[in-house]
Amino acid sequence: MRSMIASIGMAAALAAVAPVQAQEATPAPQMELASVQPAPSRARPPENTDEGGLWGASDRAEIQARASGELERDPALNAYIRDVACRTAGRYCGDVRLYVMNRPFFNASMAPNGYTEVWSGLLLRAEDEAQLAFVLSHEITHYSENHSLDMLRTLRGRSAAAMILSVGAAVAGAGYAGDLIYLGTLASVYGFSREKETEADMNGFDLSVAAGYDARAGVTLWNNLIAETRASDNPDVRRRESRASIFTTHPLSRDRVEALQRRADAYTGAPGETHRERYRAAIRPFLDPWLRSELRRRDFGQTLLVLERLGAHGEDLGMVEFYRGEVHRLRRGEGDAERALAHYTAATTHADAPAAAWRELGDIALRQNRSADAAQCFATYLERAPNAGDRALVEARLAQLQGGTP
Amino acid sequence: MITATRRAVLMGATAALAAGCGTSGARSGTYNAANAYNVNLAREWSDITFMLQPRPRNLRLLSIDGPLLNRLYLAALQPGESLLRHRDRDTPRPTYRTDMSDTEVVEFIVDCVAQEYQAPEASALRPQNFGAYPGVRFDLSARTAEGLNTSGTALAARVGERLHVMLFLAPSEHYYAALLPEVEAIFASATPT
Repeated sequence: MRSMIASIGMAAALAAVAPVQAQEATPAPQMELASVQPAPSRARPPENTDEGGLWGASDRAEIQARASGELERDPALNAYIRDVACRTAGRYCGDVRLYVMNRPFFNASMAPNGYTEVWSGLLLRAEDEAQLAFVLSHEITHYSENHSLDMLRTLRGRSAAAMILSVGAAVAGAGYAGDLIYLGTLASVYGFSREKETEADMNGFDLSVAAGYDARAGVTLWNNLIAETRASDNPDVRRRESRASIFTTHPLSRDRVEALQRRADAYTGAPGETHRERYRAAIRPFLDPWLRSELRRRDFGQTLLVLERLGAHGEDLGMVEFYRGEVHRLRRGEGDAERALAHYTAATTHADAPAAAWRELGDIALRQNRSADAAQCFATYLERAPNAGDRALVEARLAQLQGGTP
Repeated sequence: MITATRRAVLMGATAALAAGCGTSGARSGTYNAANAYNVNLAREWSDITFMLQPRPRNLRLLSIDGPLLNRLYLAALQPGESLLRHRDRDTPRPTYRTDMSDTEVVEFIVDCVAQEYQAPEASALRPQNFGAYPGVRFDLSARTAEGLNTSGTALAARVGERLHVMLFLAPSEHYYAALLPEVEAIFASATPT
């Protein structure tokens, strides 16, 4: 992956610098999805400054995001996340231009021009609104304290960072292979120092607690991410001390988590709210497509941990049990066939079970030579999903089972 | 297949041309795919398999107008192989297994497409022979990184241990429909060797 980034970057360097400079004068487009918001707190910096160059590069990445096929345009979801951001952003609320991206990795970022991305992989992993608020507060701190500009100045000038960022934007969203490259690219620009990360944690803690959120949200989330790294099927991910696989742009270290833990332990103010129920209500309509994308990563250890958290409060169990079944079906390890059967069966006892649970049960019954059960499951599937894309295929299977012509 | 991003594909092409190894032609007439099956090409296609880096085994990539405008993947995968390859061994990826159901074969192909395209979805899954072998046919919709709508269609079948796959992808506007009759004829001509 690194060699790919390097080769892309080298080739793009010749072409990218001049266009980025020309881009600086172009104001960032306003996001039509956002609700009415206050005016930005910051004026655009002069073009002939390093900060101006960084804004220009951020503008280019933002233009790419607006056109991306991965942009989640659902108005209710966007309004909800924007609202959470503004609860903690204070005077920077007007600076946040939010883009929710359907990408199955844990990531959020806020560029110097206010262009803010929140990825679906983060929304799937945050357990409640307080955890989302903590991450957004953390990002707002990077923004308010100009951490990107500090990092830029360590990159020997704006052209290098602008080039890297623009190249990253070019590959962003090119399927999840592109997402991974983009994450690595962002990390090279926004991979803040341990000191800046700790500062963002501490200030993020203050902002979210002041907004009335649970003081333990941040440390709980960070510990969850570390646990997920350890649960990965990918040995390369497990080896990385920086936990880079989870939150590449913000490497997590043990001492950083401990510092946040101490801060939460010392907090004596009013107990904050998690707002877990309303958070879950906001993301519930997206669980199915987000979990499908999650499954495409084929990191079954991590996905099972995500599902464990999603099912911890006994909600959406039809969906959660179905995807547990999916993990075991795809993994095909020892005992996985039995586990898949158990989870699909459990899913069908809940009202929110996807119709596909019956199709999978039919396939399992077919493999076990239980023809009558298979036929019944396929029939139930077609009854529950009359417009299914695979209707003709399932009907052919049914015809075979019933002795007709496939 | 789909490991290379669009930019990387273009760069790969540039690098290959600079090195004096441009596209090779897949001449009209009988074309053998991965030593597994023949198809009949009504005209010459460009074999641009070299653009896939790293190059997957048992797969050829053909195009008429270039990879951004039309792609025809012809593969005959062995168990454990995929339509894509990562540079490292550790990154999990979809792989073909001989015990896959037809639905799982479609899922496998769509999940491979998801490496490069956004939000791929299969539709109209139906039984269709691949030569004399029973197979599965389906259509695809997806988007490029820039949000361009892309259409596709595929035919796959298990032949012995191998999975034979023909997959056509092109922008929904003009290019897909323009080449579809020719692709249908190619699909219909497939004959396992």
